Parts: sequence; structure tokens; C-alpha cells
Amino acid sequence: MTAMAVIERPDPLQRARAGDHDAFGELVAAHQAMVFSIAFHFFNDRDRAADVAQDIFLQLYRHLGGIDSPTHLVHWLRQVTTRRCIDETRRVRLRAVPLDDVTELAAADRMRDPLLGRKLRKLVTALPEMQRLVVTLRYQEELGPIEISRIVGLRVNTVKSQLHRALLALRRKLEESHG
Amino acid sequence: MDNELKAALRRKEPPAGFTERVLASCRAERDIPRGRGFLAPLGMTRGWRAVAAAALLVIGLGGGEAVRIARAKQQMLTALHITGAKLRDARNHVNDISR
Repeated sequence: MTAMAVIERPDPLQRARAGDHDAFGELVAAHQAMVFSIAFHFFNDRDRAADVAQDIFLQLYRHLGGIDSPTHLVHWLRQVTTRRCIDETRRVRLRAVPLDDVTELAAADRMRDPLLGRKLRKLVTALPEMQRLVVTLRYQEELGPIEISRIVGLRVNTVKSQLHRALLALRRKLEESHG
Repeated sequence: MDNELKAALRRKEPPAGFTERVLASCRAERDIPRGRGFLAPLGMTRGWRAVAAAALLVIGLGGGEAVRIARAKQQMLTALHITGAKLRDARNHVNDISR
């Protein structure tokens, strides 16, 4: 009987922590869509989202020693991305579009672009910062209020009310744009 | 609404070449010589170098203060010594006159 030695390859996180650059590349490839999309749905700007995501992965590279499991890695990335999005808007205050003005954007959008998805993304971008993040984490990452509260550092009830308000506002604006 | 939002906010891939750019910036970070400044030869991490520099600064400031205090004390002793000598001279002079 031949004994076959099965050598299990450590997961990319372990290898990256040990200094394997290719393994770090695997981690980036595995999580870049998540990080980029949170930033993209927050800023509605691909270039800016890519810059933010790149900085976050560089930060991860420096902080790899502090990440102890793949679950921790995902949580860390979500948390750092959401904080970074808020910090960015505070650092360079974006030209905020009041939600009341979005009807015009949405109406113009209806003429140009009949796609509901694009319209919804634009409406989400016009939400206040925290509502925008909560909606993104809820619908992009499909997280529940408890997990969202851990990421954004708010109480669960506050997350629920932010989500409720955001959905009401989105529904109202969507109806107005159709009406 | 839920399904529409899920579809609208689904994950998207970053622009082409993103992973390579990230890895290049990490490689650049890794290849930057760690040692900069006078504590570099000690081979400490950046954080520890900052702590060591702060400690040296505190010790330096504290040491400087101690030197200043010692110098002031010496000046005071010299002044007292001179004053004592003058007082002694004055007393001897008075004693000479009174004899």
C-alpha cells in the first residue's frame, strides 16, 4: 500500500502573513470587488473608489500581522472601507446633493437612461453618509443590522432606523421620478 | 424594492489592472529601505524608532535641565563663597579698627 502524503497548502492569509507576495495578490483579487464596490456605491465615482480601495489594500499590507483569520479579514476590510469613505467626505467635502434635488436628477436620468439600477444608485449616492453606508452594507454585502452595527459602530436600533429612513426616502424619490 | 436594490448595488469589479497596481504599491513600500534617520542602524521598526527617539528627547531635555541646575548651584556656591570672603575681610577690617 502506497502512502500518499497530502500536503495542504496554507490559506493565502497565512502565506501572505509569512511574506508571500503572491498570496497577498490572491487576497487582493478575492476581496477587491467588495472593497471597491463599497467605495463606489458611496462616492458613485469609479476613479475615486479605485484610489480609496488601493489605499485600503496598502493599509492591509502594513497591518497583515494583526489579521488572525479570513473572517477577521473580511470584517476588517468592511470596517476600514466604511470609515475611510466617511473620512474622505469629511476631508474633502463633496458637493452634497440635497435629496430634494434628486428628483430632477432622476427625471433627467429617466430621459437619458431608462435603467432602474442606475437611477437607484444615483438616489443612494444622494442619501446622507451613514444611510448610504447602511444601505450599501445591507444590499451589496447582504448583511443584517447586527453585523452592520459592528462595522459602522452604531447601535442596532440606530442602524434599523437609518435603514428604514433611507428606504422611505428612496421609495418616495423613486415614485416622484416616475410620477 | 429589496431585489431592485440588491441588483443595483451588486458588487462590481474595479478597473482593469487594479490588482497589479496594488501589488506594485505594496512592493514599493516593501522595498523602501527601512532605515532612515540616526536610529536606523539599530534595525528597529518605525514605531519603535519613534518611541526611542521620543525617549532620547525626554532624556536629553531632562539631562539638559539637570546640567543647568548643577551649573546654577555652582554659581550660587561661588557667589556665597565670594560673599563669605568679603564678609570675613570686612569683619577683620572692623576688628583692626577697633583695636
